[in-house]
Amino acid sequence: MLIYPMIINVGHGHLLSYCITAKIGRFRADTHGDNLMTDKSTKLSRRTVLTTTGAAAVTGLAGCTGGDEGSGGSNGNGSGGANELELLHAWSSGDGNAAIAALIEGFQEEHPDVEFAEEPVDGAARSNLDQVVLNKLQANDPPSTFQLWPGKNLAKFDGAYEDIEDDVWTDDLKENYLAGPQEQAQYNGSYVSVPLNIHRINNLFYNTAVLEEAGVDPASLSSASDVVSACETIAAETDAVPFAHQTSGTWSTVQLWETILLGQAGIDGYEAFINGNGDAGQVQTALESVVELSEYYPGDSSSITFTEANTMVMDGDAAFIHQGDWAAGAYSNADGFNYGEDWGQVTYPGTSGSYLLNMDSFPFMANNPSPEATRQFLSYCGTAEGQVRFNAEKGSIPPRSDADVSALNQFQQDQFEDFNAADNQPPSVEHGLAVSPAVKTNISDAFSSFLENYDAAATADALIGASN
Amino acid sequence: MRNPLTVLKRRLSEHREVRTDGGTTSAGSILDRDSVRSAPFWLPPFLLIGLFIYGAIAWNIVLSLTDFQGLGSPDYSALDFENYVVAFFGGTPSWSELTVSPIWNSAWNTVVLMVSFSVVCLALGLVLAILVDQEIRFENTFRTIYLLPMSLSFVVTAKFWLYMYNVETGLVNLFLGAVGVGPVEIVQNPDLKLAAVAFALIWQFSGYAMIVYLAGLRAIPTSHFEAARVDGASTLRMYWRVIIPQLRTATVSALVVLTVFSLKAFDFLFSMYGGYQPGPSADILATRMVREAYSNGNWAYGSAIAVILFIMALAIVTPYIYSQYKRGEL
Amino acid sequence: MSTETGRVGEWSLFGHSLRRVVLYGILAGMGVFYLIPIETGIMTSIINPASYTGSFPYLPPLEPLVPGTGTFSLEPWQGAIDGLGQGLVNSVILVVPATIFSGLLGSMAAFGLTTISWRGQIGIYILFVAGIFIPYQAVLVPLTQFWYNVVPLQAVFEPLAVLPFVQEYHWKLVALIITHTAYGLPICTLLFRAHYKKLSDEMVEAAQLDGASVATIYRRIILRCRSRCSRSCSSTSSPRSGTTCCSRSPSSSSAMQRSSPRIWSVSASPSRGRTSRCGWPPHCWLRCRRCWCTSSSAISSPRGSLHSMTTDSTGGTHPWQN
Repeated sequence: MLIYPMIINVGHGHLLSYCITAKIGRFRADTHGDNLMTDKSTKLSRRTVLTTTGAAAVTGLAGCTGGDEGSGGSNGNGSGGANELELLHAWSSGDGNAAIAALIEGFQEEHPDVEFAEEPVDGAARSNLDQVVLNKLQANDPPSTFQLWPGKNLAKFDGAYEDIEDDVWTDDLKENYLAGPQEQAQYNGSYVSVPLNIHRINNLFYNTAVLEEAGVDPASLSSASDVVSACETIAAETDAVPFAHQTSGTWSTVQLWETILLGQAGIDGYEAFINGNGDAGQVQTALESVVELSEYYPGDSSSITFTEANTMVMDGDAAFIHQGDWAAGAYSNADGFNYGEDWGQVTYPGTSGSYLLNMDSFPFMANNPSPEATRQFLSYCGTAEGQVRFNAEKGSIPPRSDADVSALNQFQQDQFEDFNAADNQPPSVEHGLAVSPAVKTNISDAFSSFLENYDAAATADALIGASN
Repeated sequence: MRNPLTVLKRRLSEHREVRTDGGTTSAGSILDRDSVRSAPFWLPPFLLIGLFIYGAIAWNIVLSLTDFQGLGSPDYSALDFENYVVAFFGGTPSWSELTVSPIWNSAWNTVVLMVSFSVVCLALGLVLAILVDQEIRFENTFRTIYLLPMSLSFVVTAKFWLYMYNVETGLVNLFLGAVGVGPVEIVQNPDLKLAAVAFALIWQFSGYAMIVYLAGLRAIPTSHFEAARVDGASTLRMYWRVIIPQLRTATVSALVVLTVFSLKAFDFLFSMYGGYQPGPSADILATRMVREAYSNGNWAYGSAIAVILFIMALAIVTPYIYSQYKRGEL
Repeated sequence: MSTETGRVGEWSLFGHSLRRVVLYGILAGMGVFYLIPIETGIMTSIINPASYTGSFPYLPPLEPLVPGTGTFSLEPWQGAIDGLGQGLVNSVILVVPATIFSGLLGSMAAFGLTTISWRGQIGIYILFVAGIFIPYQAVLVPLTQFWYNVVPLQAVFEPLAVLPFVQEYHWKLVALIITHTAYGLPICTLLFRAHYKKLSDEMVEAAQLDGASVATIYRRIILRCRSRCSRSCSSTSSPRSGTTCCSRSPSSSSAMQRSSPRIWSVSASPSRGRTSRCGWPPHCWLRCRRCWCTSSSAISSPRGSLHSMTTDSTGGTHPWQN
C-alpha cells in the first residue's frame, strides 16, 4: 500500500487525488497475498504521474491563485519615466472606471504632455489597494498618487506624504471647500490630499410604490424609532420586506449604527465617540435601535450582498434601504426606475442638518516619481470643472461649493444643495475617516460579534473599549 | 593503537570502488562517494526548500521577536518575547496604543474545527470505502464523483455552500424544512457557524479519506474476510472486529493530513465571509494571523501567531514521521 | 443484479438483491450529495443576473416555463471572462512552469535520495517530507519581505519588459513561480520516491557495477522508463516476431525469434547476458521500452514470478552503455 496521503494545499491535493485514484487496484489481493492481478492496474507510471500532476495542478493551482494582488495593469505600462504619473485606484469597472477616465481625459486636455500610468487594482471598495500601496512603499517605490479615503485613514501610510499646501491648497481651494472635508484632507495639520467627491452615508432610500401601498409618508419620519414603526406598518400592509439589509459583511451594519448614533446623540455625541469619549448609554441605545430594525431585514440577509439588497428595492420587493449614495448610482442606471417617481431619498430620520460623508481623495506621496505632474493633477482635481467631470459619472457630488452642478442629475443636485446647507459634515467611522485604523479594527470586530448575537449591551462595552 | 581521529579521518575519506572483476581499486577521493556524485541531483532542490521553507520559518521566528508594525523595516536589534506574552495573556505591546486580545478564542475554534472535521471526515470516508469496496458496478464512476469536490478550490466551495446555506432558497434549509426542523439561520448563527464550515470542508475532503481507506481495504487479503465469515461473524461484527483494526496505518496517515490541512483552512473562511473577519465563533488561528498581519499591519504579532500555528502542525506531524521512519516505511 | 453475490458469500440478513438495492441507493444518494453544490453553482452561472434575486439557486433557469427560476443567460460567463481573463492568463503563466520545475526537481531529488543509496540520505529525505506540512501562514510575512525588500527582482526585471509578451508586473509572477516550485517540491519528491522504490535494486547495482555514473543511471534508466512505461507494460506480453523495436539491430535478429521467454538473471557476472521476461535481449531494451519497464517491475515485485537463475548466452551490451 504505497500510498502517501499527504496534501499540502488544495492545488497539490488535486494531483494527489488523481494519482491515488490511478493507483488503487480493482481487485483485492488473493489468499496467497500475491498481488499479481493488481500489477496491471496499480502500476503508476512516471508518465501518468507527470501528466496528472500537470493537469490536476493546473486546475487546482489555477483556482488558488485567483486571489493574488490583481494589478491587472490594463493601461499600465510600468513605472518610471519622469513625466509618467503613476496612479493607483480600485475603480476597475463600472461607474468608477468611467469617472476616472473622464477625469484623466479632462486633465489631459489641459496638460497634454503628461502621461498617465494608471493601474486599477481589483478588489471592491479598495480592499486590495491598501496592501498594494503598502508593498510599494516598503519597496521604496511609491506611486505618484492613489485613491485613498482620507481622514484617519491617512495614518496607515504615516510618513509617506508631502505637504501640498503651498502649491495645491491655494486660497481658492480653501475658500470653496467646506470645513469638514478640508479637515479630513489634512494629516497632522498639514494638507496632504485633495478630496475629489463626497458620498453621503445618512440616506434612506425607498421604493415609492411600496410606501404608497403601505400608506407610509417618508417625509413624516423624524427619528430612528419612526423608521421602525414605519417598517412595522409596511410589514403589516404589504408583502414587501420592510428594510433591505445585508449582514454577510459587517460594513452595512456599522454604517447603519453610526447613522442612528448621529441622529440620536447629535453631532456632539457622535464627535465625542470618535474622539474616544463616547457615552455608553448613547451607544447602546443606537445599537438597540439596530436590533429593533433587524426584525424587518430580509430572511436571507446573511447570504446576500449589498447589490442584491439594492435590487430588492428596485424590484419592489423591499421598501427601505439605508446605504451610501452609490446605491442611487444603481438606480440611475436601471431603466424605468426614476428619481421622484419610482424611488426617493430622505435624510435618515434624526440626522437632518448633518451630512455624514465619505470621500475619495488623492494624496501627494513623498519621493514622488513625477512631482510636477502630480501637483498639476492634484490642482486639477481641486478645480470645479474636474470635479464635475468626475462626479457626473460617479454619482456622487463635488466637494467645492462653487461647482456648477447643472450637468449632474436631479438627485445629485438635491444632494449638493443639502451638502452646502448642512450644519456639519461628520466623517464616517466605517470608511476609516473618523477613527484610527487600530480603533476601526476593534469596532469591526465588535460588530462581527454583534451580528452573531445581537447583544447590544456587550457590543456597547466593546465599542466604548475600542479606543483603549 | 591508532589515533581515533586518524581512524575516523581515514574512514571518512576512504572510498573503495568495487571493480568489475571482483577486486577493489585503490581508495578514491571524497568526490567519488555516491552522496557527492548524486549531489547535483538532490542538492539544488534541497537548497531551494532550505531557503524557502526552513529559511522562511527561521526568519518568521526572528520576525516574531521584533516589534515590526506598519510601514518601515523590522528592527532586529531589540528582540523579545513580548508578542508571545500578548498572544497568551493579552495586554498592550510596545508597538500598539490599544490593547491586543489574546488568541485563546481562535485557538479553541481551531482545535474544535480540527477534531470535528478530521473525525467525521474519516468516519464518512470509511463508510464510503466499505460501501464502494463491495464489488459494485460503476465503481470508477462513483469514485470519481466522490472525489470531484476535491478538485474545487476553496473559494469556489465557499461560494457554493453559501448558496446552499441560504436561509430562504438554500437546499440545506429546504431539507431541514422537509424534515420538520424548519428553516434555520446558519451563516451568521454563532452556534452553527463552525459546524457549517466543518460540514462544507467534510464535503470536500471525505472523498480523499475514502480513497485512503479503499486502498487500505484492498490490501487486506480476502482470506481475512472469509475466515471471519466462516467463524460466523455478522457483517457488522466482521468489519468492526477484524477489518477496521487493520486499517490503523491508513487511519493515522489520513488523520495527520486532514488535521494539518484544517489548520490552514484560511481561504475557505475568507471567501465565505468576504474578508478577514469571519466572526468570533468561526475565527481560527489562520484567519487571526492573516488579519493581524495584513489587515491591521501588525506584522510581528502575526508572525508570532504563525509560529504558534507552525508548532501545532509540527506537534501533529513529528510523531507520525518518526513512526514511519522507525517502521521503515518512509 | 441477482447474480451478484457479493464478494464473500451471501449476505446473512436479507435476500441479497434487496441488500444490493439498498447499497446502490446509498451510493447514489451520496453521489447526489457530492454533486449538488456543484450543480447549484452551474445553475447559478447560467441565470440572468437581473432575475437572480429570489430564485432558487439549484433549479435550472426555465423562466418562461417554470416561474421563479430565473431566465437563462450566458451573461455571467461573459462577465467572468471579461473580469477574470487576465487572471486566467496569469494563472496559466504561473502554474505551468511551476509544475514542470516542481516535477523535474522533485524527480531529481527523489532519484538522488532513493535510487542511489548512501548514508544519511534518510535524514535529508525527512527534511523534504516535513516540508509538506508547513502551514503557509507561517511563511507569508517573511516571503513578502523577501520578494519586496531583499531580492531586487523587480529592478532586475524592468529591462526585460521591452520584450514582446513580457510586462512589468510579470516579475511578481516570476517570484510566485519560484515560490510555488519550492513549495511543491516536497510532495513531488515524495511521489517520485514512491515510484523509484519500485525500481529494482539489482538493476541499479548492476549498472553501477558496469561503471555507469550517477548521471548516466538517471538518464538511461529513469528517463527511459518515463516516456514509454504508460503503454501496455503488461506482465504477460510475449515477444512477437517482426516487431519493430529490435528490427534495427542486425545482430540480434536471430535472438529475437526465439519464442520461449527468458527469465531475468540476477547474476552479477557482466559477461552473461540478461534478458527480460519478455524475452528480448538487453541491447533491445533501449528501443523496446515496453520490455524494459516490464523487466524492471517484474524484478521489483517480490511476489512476481521471476527468479529462476538461468542465464542466457547471447551476451550483448547493456542498455546503459548504448
